[in-house]
Amino acid sequence: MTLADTIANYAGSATREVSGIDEDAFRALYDRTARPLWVYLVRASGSRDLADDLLQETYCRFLSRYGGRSALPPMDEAATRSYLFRIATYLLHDRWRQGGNAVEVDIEAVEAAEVSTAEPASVAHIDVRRVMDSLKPRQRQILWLAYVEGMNHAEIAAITGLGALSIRLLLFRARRQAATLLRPEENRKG
Amino acid sequence: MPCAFEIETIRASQTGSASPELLRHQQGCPHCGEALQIARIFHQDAEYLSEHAAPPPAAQVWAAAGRRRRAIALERATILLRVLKASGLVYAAVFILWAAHALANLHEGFVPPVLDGKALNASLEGAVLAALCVGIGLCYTLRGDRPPTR
Repeated sequence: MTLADTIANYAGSATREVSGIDEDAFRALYDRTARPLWVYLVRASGSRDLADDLLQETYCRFLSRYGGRSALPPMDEAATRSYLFRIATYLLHDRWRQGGNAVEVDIEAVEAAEVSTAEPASVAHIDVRRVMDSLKPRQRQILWLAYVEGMNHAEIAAITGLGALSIRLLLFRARRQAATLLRPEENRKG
Repeated sequence: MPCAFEIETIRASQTGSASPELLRHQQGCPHCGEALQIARIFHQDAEYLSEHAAPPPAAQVWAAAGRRRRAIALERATILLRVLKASGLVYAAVFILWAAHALANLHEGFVPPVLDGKALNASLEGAVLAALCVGIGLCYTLRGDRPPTR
């Protein structure tokens, strides 16, 4: 048996338990928190593939902190959710720093087909995608966290690493820009 | 200027628990009206995405976390091997320099006090032991890099 095998077997012997949380507990946590986090990542990144990658990376990091040497203090549901959003937002920024903002491509094909259905929800879906594409990355994040996740300025500040006062101003500007982008579409529909 | 009640308005619209004062404020505040309109469209979009697509399954993420843990464990374990390997190389370099210096002195007919028989034996034993350790460590590490023959 090689050294790599020995260590891999040792680490693999605890597949039912990674970093102090067992698979069933993780599944329950994932079922409660993954979907809103994934939707946030899809809209903030503009790419489903990237959102999948970042979601996976977010939970890997969460699990590695869960039982590591610098273990997390016990967290309630809201704190866990906020922590997951913070990791995801950090990873998103990291990805933008590495590869710029050229990731908004792969939803195009899927959503082009959806236009033909023209359900009200699908029309709103296309509108939001168009608006998000026109906004800066930081604006997308702040708008989504405030208007979909219902987070207040302090919560958004904790997740994005910005000051609460800056969030207030940035949210105001992002909202004005989003409203301007949505208005022609709204008028056309009306 | 941003409205101070904007977030409160959004939260109230999501929970359906707006106070009468907040409702009165919403009716006369263009900022809150605009925020509510955007929030409504964003919510429709979020629901649409949730219904028409899904995040990766939990089992896939769990397996990735397990793989990550094994990789980290492997990385940690190989740190000791790397340190031993580096120490062996440093020892060998120092020994070669010392031996070259001692042999040069010998060539000139001067036998330094550190090069008596006892010291030389101890040095050679140490060198052989170091070579053995480095060799075994390298062999063990290199075996791990080979693909399985099964």
